[in-house]
Order: sequence, then structure tokens, then C-alpha cells
Amino acid sequence: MKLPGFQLDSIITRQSQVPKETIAFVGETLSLGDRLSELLYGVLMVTSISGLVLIGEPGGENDLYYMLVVLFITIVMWGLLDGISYALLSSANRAERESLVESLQVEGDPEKRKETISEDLDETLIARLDGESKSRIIDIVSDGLPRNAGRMMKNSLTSDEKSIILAAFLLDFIPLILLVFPYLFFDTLRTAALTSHVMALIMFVIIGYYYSKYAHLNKWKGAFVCGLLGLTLIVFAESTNLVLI
Amino acid sequence: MALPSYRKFLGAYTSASERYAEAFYGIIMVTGCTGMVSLGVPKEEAGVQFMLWTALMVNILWGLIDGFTVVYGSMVDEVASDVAVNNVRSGKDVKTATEEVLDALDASLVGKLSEQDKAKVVEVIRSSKSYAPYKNKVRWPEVKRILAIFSIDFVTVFPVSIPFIFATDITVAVRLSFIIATVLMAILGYQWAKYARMKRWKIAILFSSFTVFLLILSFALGGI
Repeated sequence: MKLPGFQLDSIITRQSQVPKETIAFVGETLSLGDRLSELLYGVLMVTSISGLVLIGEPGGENDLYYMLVVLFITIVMWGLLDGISYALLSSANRAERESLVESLQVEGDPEKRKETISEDLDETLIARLDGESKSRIIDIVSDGLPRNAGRMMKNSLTSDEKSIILAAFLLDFIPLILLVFPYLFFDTLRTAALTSHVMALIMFVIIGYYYSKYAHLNKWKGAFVCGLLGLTLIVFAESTNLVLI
Repeated sequence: MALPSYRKFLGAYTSASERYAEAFYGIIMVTGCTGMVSLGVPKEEAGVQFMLWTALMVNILWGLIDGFTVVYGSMVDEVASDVAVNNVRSGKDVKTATEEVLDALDASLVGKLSEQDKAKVVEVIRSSKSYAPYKNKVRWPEVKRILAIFSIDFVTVFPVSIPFIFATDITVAVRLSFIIATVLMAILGYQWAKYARMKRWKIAILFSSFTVFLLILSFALGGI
């Protein structure tokens, strides 16, 4: 039997066998850093929203059902908004690159052309190569860029960018739906919210661990910092009687 | 003089696309949270001051968390690029590593090259004399990047909190806040689409519909 932690690891690292296709799709569409950030934002969002809804004095027989609806809508909305903004970000980056290519097409001075290419490549891993290799790549880019391509008049989402919407949605929806389960299985809102927040706290620790692992930082320090962030959120709410009343 | 310096600061540490995305997340986060608070708080207990603090706290916390995750997320991607480059150079799982290197370079001008030229770029990386690994430490430039992102969130989202400063009635304040957020989202969508050369009005309407949907949802669920 596979532990949930293993599955989360698989989503992050793309190495699992199950559910292979979904994980591979999310892995190919979003970068490792993006996947970890999305998980953190999602857990934070669900924890905050469930906390904020609990502000005041919830009471009444429909509270569990009410919270279930609010959280479900939050997860779906957050997944969609996240996906759409990611796709637009990718589209805007593409337009930004097209503008650069267009400006290079009209640049008559070869030195200035190479300088502009160098500035663009300095933001990538090519900046970490030795000078000679970097110059060779600048030459390849300078010679290989389209010279007479037409100006990009209108931009729309590519099929890859449409896939990003689905990938970001799945990445938010699948792990975050776990935080809604306690509201299905417990009788009181307080117990359900407490269980959901404890689960969120565990997720914070796991995300912090993997964040640090893949950034080659101290894993346990990362787990501690992320866990502390989640704990602060819950303890602050507890101490001010805002959450889990 | 302060505004040009601030713009220069933002330009140095964030890209235009990033600035639009950060503003988008910030507005959605604050509007969503104030909407949710209005669901949970009985009208007679919810004060405008309480909502103001909620909006400001969400604003500040989100700005900081956003700044840190952007910096650390980039760090994870840079380290992943290093691993791919090292694999290409050492001949370990070359096919996957080559794809990962090209993925990492796709947003740059390398992404515009033909497959043949991309292969030449990978070959130069493979045979280069040296490759300096990424230094994964938060230094002054990274701190400035966090501050830049935090300030984008704070400055853009602050107008959404203004009704809670001046209005005395909570219902009026929440609704005004939603209207401001809707207008901000429309402006943001228009500008973002203009920058991305997409259909401006379509994106402006799409963005503003998100906050309108949040408002309708808040009403439907019994909010203020």
C-alpha cells in the first residue's frame, strides 16, 4: 500500500506509476517550482477561507453542509483562477519574446543585436556557462533567429497554454479536496475544522520539506518554516477567537 | 521623483508579466477573503474596522508569502536546471535532460530557434569548459525582489480596502469594496491583454466577471 506522502512526492517528482497519466500531464505542463508554489498557495487559501468563514459564532444544523459548499467552491474557483492566470502569464511572456524578436529584426548594429541577445540569455542557465561557450550560443541565436517573420498582430492561447489551465486546476483540486473530507465525516463543525486544519498543517510541513529538498536547501529547516507558517495561522486565529471557536 | 524611482525598482526586480500576475492574485485574494468574512460574521457584529484589519492583514500576509514563494520557486527551478545541465554534461539520461534544458530555455530567445539550432545550443552546453552551479542563497537582490513583489500586491490592492476606512456602514463598505475590485480587475485585464496582444475587452470582461461572481456567491451564501 502506498502512503499519501509517497503520492505527493510522485506528483512533485513525476516518478510515480499511479495515476501515471495525470501526474505526467501536470509534471510536463508546470515546472517543479510552480508545482510546489501552487500546492502551498492552495493549502493556504483553503485554510484561510475555512478560518474566515468560521469567524463569528457559527451555529445551526446546516453549518457542516454550508462549509462543505464554501470550501468546494473555493477549491474549484481557486483552481480555475490559478490556471487562467498561469495561461495568461505564459501568453504574455510569449508576446514579450515576440516584441524582442521584432526589435532584433530591425536592429542594424550587429554589436547591439548581440548585446540584446546576451541580456536575454543572462536571465537563463546560459549565464552560468564560461564566456566562450556563451559567445558561441549568442552567435547561434543571432544567426538562427527568424529575420523576416511577420509582426505578431494578435495573440491567443496556444493548446499548451490551454493545457496549463487544466494542469493547474488538477494540481490544486486533487490534493486540496482532501482538506474537505473532514466536513463529510464529522458531526460537528468544530471537530471537522480542527481535523482539516491539522491535515493542512501536515501538508504545510510536507510542502516545506520538498521545497527545500529540490532547492538543495536544508529540508527540515524548510519543513519547520512552512509548518510554522501554517501553525501561526491557526494559533493566531485560535488566540483571537476568529477560528475554531 | 519618488514614482520614477519606484517604477525603476519594480522594473529591475520583476518582469511586466509578473507584475500583472501579482496584482491579479492580490485583488482576488483580498476580495475573496473579505467576501468570506462577510459570510461568517453576523451583520450586527461585523464592524468596518474589523473588515479593514482583515483586508490589510490579508494584503500584507499575501504580499509577503507571494514574494517568498516566487523567490523560492525560482530557486527550485534554477536548481532543477542545474541538475539537467549536469546530466547533459555527464551523459546521464541525456534525452530527458536535453528536454529539460530546452524547457528551461524555452521562454528565452532560444525558444524561437529551429530544432537544429536548439540541438547546437545543447551541444555547446554539453561541451562547455565550465558551468558554475546556481547559488541558492537569499541575498540582497533576492530580498529586493521579495520587497518589489510585496509592494505590487500592497499598492494595487490597497484601493480595495479604502471603503473600510471611510464608510460607516458595513454593507455599503463591502459593496463599495467589491465595485472597486471589479473596476481594478477590468483595468488590469485590459492592460494585461494589451501587453500580451490579446483581445483587450474580452479579457477585461473575463477578469471583472471573477469579482462579480464572488459578489453573487457572497449574496447567495448569505453574506453581507
